Amino acid sequence: KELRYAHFQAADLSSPKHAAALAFEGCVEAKTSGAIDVQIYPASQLGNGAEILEGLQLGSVQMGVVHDGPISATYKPFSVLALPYLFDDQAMAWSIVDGPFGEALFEDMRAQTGIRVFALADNGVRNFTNSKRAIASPDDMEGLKMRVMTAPVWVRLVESLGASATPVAWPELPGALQQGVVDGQENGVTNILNASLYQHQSHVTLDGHVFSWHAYMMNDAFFESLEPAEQTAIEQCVVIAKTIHRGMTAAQDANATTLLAEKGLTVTPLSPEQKAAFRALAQPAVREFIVGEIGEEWPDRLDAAVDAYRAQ
Amino acid sequence: MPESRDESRAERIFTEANRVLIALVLAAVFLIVFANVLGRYALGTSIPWAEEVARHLMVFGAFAGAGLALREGKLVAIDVLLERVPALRRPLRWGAVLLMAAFMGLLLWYGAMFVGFGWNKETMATQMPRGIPYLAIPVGAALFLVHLALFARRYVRAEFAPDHAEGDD
Amino acid sequence: MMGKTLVILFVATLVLGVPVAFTMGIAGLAAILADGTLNPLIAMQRMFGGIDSFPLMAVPFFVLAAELMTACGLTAALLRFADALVGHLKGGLGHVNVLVSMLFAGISGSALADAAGPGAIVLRMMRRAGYDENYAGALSAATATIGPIVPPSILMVIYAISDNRVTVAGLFLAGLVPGLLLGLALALTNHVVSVRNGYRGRESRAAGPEIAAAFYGALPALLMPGIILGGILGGVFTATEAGAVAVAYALLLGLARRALGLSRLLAVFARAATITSSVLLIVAMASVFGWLLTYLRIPQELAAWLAGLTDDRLTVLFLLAGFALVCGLVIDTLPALIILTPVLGPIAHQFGIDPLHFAMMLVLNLTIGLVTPPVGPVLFVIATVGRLRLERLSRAILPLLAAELFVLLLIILFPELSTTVPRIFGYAN
Ligand code: NA
Ligand code: NA
Repeated sequence: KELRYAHFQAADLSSPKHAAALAFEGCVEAKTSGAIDVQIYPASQLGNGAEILEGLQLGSVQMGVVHDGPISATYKPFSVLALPYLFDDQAMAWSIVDGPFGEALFEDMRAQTGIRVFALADNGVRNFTNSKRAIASPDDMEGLKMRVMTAPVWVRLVESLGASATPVAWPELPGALQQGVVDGQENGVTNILNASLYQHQSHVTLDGHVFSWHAYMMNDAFFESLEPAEQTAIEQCVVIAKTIHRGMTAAQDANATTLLAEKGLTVTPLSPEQKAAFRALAQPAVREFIVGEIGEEWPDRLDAAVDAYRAQ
Repeated sequence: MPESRDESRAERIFTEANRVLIALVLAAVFLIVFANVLGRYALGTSIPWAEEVARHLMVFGAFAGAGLALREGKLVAIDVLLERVPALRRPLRWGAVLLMAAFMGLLLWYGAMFVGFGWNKETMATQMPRGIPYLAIPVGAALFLVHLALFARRYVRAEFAPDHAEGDD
Repeated sequence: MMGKTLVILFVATLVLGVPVAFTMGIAGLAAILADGTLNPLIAMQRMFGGIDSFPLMAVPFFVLAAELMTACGLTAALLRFADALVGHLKGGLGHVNVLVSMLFAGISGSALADAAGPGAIVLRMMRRAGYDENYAGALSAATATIGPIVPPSILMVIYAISDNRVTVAGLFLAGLVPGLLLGLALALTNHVVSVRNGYRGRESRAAGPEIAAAFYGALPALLMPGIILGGILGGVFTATEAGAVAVAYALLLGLARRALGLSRLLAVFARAATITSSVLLIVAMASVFGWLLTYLRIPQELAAWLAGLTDDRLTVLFLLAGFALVCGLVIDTLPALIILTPVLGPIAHQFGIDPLHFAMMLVLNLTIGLVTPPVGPVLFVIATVGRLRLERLSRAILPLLAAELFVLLLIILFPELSTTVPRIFGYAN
């Protein structure tokens, strides 16, 4: 059986997605004695995120690792994970998406879309970079033209902090930064490094506003068509892939200060008090927006999961 | 403008309406993108939906202009065989007409299914059903089929409609 | 199996004279239906997704800008200016042909536009002046290939959306030196041919006031490339937005010169929209075809095979160039570019070839394919507008083709020709 596996990063071992994909390929082929033939299509060869999600439904791709933006456009409740300044650290974020909250969300998505989510791995904690000044408080955001992804929730986030939001598609972003069409942008360390976004930026603020995710997804009908042993093999191998992917991204996030300083950026870390100033502005505004889109249920469940984790 | 004597009044109106449609779509694409540039410099704001709407209008214009491109001889074809063997000209041209009709029929059918498939998904910026921009394919295919039905005999005779050229010479 | 169906149907429909745009769509959809394992809706997705691109929007804008400029009578003004500058040389009108193509290239993004516009006009002028009609046609065809090399360029826009290692702006800059070389090589060839055939220039060299008047007349058109490139380089806007600004500039000119009434305006927009549609349909259908090739792992296997042959960078570059040249002979330039870029680009990358250097090689290579028989769209256009026999035209173009291939060789051998200007402006990789 052929398992076509699509992802978006370059085909080299320093890309977390590709390293994870190679590990997955080796693991599945070994565990199923070659009954499942994994073929990896890196670097968006089969289409962009939204197209791979459609491909997962149409059955042209069996497995895809796609980032959260396009998933929310296919399955709206997924956008609950865009609530800013929610998680204290990686351990907390992982625990919640691996726990009952994640399971419930993925099961609902499977029922509604026919796409099975196995797991989420980090796309890096998102930080603000810009070419003008160090940002230590929301006041410093005033008047900056900040690139955001093209979904309205990101416009709301950036505007709530006082900057002006300029939606720019990902392929246009390097050009927009180089030409000064925007002053800054927000992304995880992996993206900032892989796409050389640091080239025309001078400051980065490690505010970690959103934990963004890559989802490991499969066409559910394909999964159901497999032998139970094959299903188990795939589930086990996703855990390996997820662990590698999370480990590599987390290492980059943990060393963000060093990695980005090496690229010539002035790094501004935020104290918990400073971060609270950002949270006070952004969280209510974005929550209001998300509730308007998907209702109270998922935001409330996520809040409950956060409270439960803190109570432990 | 000179018209072939085969062209009925209804056909002229249909063709002209199609022409106006794609001209206006192109004008809208231009206005949206240009307004966005102006807005960014003059007012420091940009239109969040500008990029997406302009893109989708361009795709619509591309499919909606297919029939006109055929009429005006702008769809390049390799005519070497037709020119070498004049006796084959008519049968080959009719073959091409049938193939195009079958292909556009399939685009109409599968395009409509694709619209249905995209209806419960959203576009990123305007968050409208993705099925709306996907309408470009079946609508374009339907327009093309009407053009083809009206124009097939002249296409076989290679009487392409006058290119509305605006030259200096 | 599916791969074979795909290629056989593509070639068969091509030879039968089905419009090139549809050959790829028909082959792709039929291969999917015959195979039965892939959902045919994937073909719809690729058709839509293949042209659902903001950078691609530069195509309609540059087409529209060039149409508006022509409607304002600026093509004729460029011609007068070129004539005042070089008309007196040996083979003067031939040099005018080369120079006006280079000037027009700064406005237009496509070789077909150049061939059908100034190319056709100079062809008639040369014929009246006693040049061999086939040589005149061949020169108009050959010089039209400067269009996609000098920025702006539709081919470069489309290359950049197929390979995210380069940007449209970087590619535009990369084309400046090769475009100049192409012009020089063709002018040199024209000089040799003119000396041999005794083609002379106009009676007398243009005097200062005539040059000044011609320059003033052509100035609005000459400013256009400055606005486009200057705007991109100055960080004012992206390539697509530069296209929109170019359109606004041309509109303003047209209104100022009272050359554009409402109905004329509508006609120009409709014409540009139809041209755009014919280009984008090819891109859309080629996306289906190219996606299937990738899905069937044909590029991946080709790359692995090539990697086993050699590990020398230059050898690989020559192999890729040769392969592209053969493809360019039999496939139309645009589909060849869309199909080959994702196939050959990663191979070039794997061997450490500079992405801009490779892109320039491929674009120039396939542009030359526009004027090579048997499948040379620019030759077809010139043969049609000049009522010339394709065989004779094909023979007359050989020396000019040799000059273009020589420039291609230089571009392959010296990456600096393509990469220096982009590097100066910070667009190198
Ligand atoms: Na050009
Ligand atoms: Na050719």
